[in-house]
Amino acid sequence: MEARPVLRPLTTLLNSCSRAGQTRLASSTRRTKKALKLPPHPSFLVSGAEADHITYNPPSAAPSVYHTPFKFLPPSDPRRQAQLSSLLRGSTGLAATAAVSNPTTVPATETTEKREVPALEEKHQVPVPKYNVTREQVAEMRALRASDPMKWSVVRLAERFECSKLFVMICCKASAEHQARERERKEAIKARWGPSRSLAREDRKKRRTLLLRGEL
Amino acid sequence: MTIRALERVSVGQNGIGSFILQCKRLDIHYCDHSGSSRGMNAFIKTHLPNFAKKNPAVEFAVSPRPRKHPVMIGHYINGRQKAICVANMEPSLILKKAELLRDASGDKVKRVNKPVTSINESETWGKDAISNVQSVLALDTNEDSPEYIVLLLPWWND
Amino acid sequence: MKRLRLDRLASQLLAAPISPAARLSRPSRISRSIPQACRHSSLYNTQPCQRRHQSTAVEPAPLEEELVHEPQDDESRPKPLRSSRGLPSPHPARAASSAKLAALHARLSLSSKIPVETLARALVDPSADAHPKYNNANLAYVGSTVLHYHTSETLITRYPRLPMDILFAAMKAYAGNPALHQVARAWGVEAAAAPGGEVDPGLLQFDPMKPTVVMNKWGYVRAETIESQTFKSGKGISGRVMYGSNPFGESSAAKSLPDLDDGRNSKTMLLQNAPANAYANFVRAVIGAVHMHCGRDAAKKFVMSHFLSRTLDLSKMFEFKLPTRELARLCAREDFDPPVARLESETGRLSRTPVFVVGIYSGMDKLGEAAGPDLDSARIAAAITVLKSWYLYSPGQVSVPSDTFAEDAAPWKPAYVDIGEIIS
Repeated sequence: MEARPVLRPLTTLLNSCSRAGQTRLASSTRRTKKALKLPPHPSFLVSGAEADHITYNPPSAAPSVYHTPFKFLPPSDPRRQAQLSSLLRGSTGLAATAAVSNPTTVPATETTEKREVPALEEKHQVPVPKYNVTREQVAEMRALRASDPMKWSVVRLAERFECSKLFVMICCKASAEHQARERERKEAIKARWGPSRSLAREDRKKRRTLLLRGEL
Repeated sequence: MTIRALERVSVGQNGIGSFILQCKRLDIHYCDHSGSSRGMNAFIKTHLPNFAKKNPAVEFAVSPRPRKHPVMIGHYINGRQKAICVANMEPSLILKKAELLRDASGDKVKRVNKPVTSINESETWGKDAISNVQSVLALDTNEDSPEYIVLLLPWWND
Repeated sequence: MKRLRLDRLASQLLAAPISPAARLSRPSRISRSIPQACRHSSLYNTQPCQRRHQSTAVEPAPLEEELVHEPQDDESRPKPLRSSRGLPSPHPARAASSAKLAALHARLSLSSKIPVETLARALVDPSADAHPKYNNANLAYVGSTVLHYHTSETLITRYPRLPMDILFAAMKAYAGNPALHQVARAWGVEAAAAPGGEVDPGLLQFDPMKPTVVMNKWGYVRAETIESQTFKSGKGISGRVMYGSNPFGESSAAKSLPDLDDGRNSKTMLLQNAPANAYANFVRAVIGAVHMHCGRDAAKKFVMSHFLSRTLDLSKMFEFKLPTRELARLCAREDFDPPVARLESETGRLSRTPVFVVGIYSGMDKLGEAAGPDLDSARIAAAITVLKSWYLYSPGQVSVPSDTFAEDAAPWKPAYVDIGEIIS
């Protein structure tokens, strides 16, 4: 950002040099329009052999919540039977069910049919619970936490007993004075925030409430 | 109780489910002596009883207004009024004006230049995100962020 | 659901004083009042800009006369020929000559079986006339019962998985005071400036400063309701289902609303929105009148066409607290695979306005997707979408229990209704 005033004369100099070398930029209307021209969507391409047909190419739209997914249809619903038969008929197996099943969806295109559930990165993998902590270890954990909550923090205990932090927090409860101390520490940190940061935090809270109301 | 309800009120649209005629009262004023009321007096004598019988949902109030032009005033459910001066008009023309007042909705005359008016929400995907991006780009033209300025205004190219 | 014998309860409504001549003759709507017409119109004109003439202003009657009714009042209502000034509301015999009333009757396309006198009675709020034979309290009770019955059966069969809280709110959105107030306004009902015996019977008559009847109570109040109020309990949804004394799950007694029974009227006991309550009571009374004079089917049709045809977007009424946990509990309850959130597509991750599209899968089935400006809010938005698509499942147009009231109706097939809350 600060580099621009410095760089500006340099770029003008460069531009003037290149103007001497006749570099043309795509700046005319005709070239821009030509560059933006896209081929029509395949669903609009009609081969001559086909007589009457329906072109199905709706605008991209957010899926409506009133279109119940296939899995949520109760067994008594007639749509379940209808979609089940269409899924079995027009698909290559299980993968086809990955497409959002709503009543208006026409048999999906090739790309969506072959789609699998998207893979997850390694760091986002949810750890599988190991259920390795015994009753005695829980008692030990509680004793450690009660003895010195500063030293035996939740993270430390989770490392030691090879369980999740959530499990530690389910098992142990810190003493009131430790909780008060932690709260004071956080208050002190918050007091150091400047106006921009505290405003940003407040906005974040507001956005969260809006999100939970579905208004964001 | 993890779900809370946001209170809303259902929205009624006249004509869906039921229709309510929007004209609720028609005031008809005439003068016994003025020449401009001649057509109106004839209308009251000949057409009005039949017209009132055909439109039971409208309340008719006939009253004299001496030394003034005859006038018809329609009162509508939305609280507005519409007045038509019917001086020197033939009774048949006055009947047409009465029908106009009866059929009006009472709203201000508006230009309708969209083929569809709907209370339903648009379904376009990600419209908020896209409009957000555009507004941010527009805002950033005033700020010191060169990458956006390069996108919008090629200032070096003059 | 409680079975109400409306016909037995409300038979006295049909025995209201109606002169047979007035029932037959259609009133003429052309009120040709020669030079006094302006004066006449100023009587019912509610526009604030117009000044009231001295002679037409409602004289404030002594309070005792209006509130205290001797039992002999039932038989000997004063004749209209005598000065009608002493009456708290217009005499029923004047209904036949009211142009406004006839126009309102025709505007609502009411059947000719409903006499205009009943419509006039529907326009008298208990705050204007405390006498139960001349106000709309009883008609409004019948009407509110009919309205709530049809609203609830329609909502439950059409959206069988709605959570209780949303169901209550939806009931209120269709049949609560604000909605009924809007309906009455859309019907073109005007209120009189002040109630009295001399005003036009076609105007709604109520007094915001007098005690009235709040129509959202059930017939009786449970003993536990009073108890729960003393202990301040019953705030959860099951408490609202059990102890809520009105159809919208609210405890009306908690607000200490004025009632006809105890005629005390202090400032703290005044209604929040007296005009809305009066307008809503009129609408309920019209439904009650349709039910009493035209029968069950006509009342159902009336409710369907005027109230349940209104638009309400239920998907905008949800406010979630823990959507992801709720979705996980739902999948566990319904024996689905646990839900997982996956990133479907993204754009501009390093820009100021990134967009992430997150889909939620259960096993190989995709349940829903949503977009958001960061990964976490996109995941929450997707969970909300999935939960909404669960709650807003609709089997379409299915039959409701009241369909079986018809003579040649098919036997009732039980409707699908969900078992209840996911996290209560």
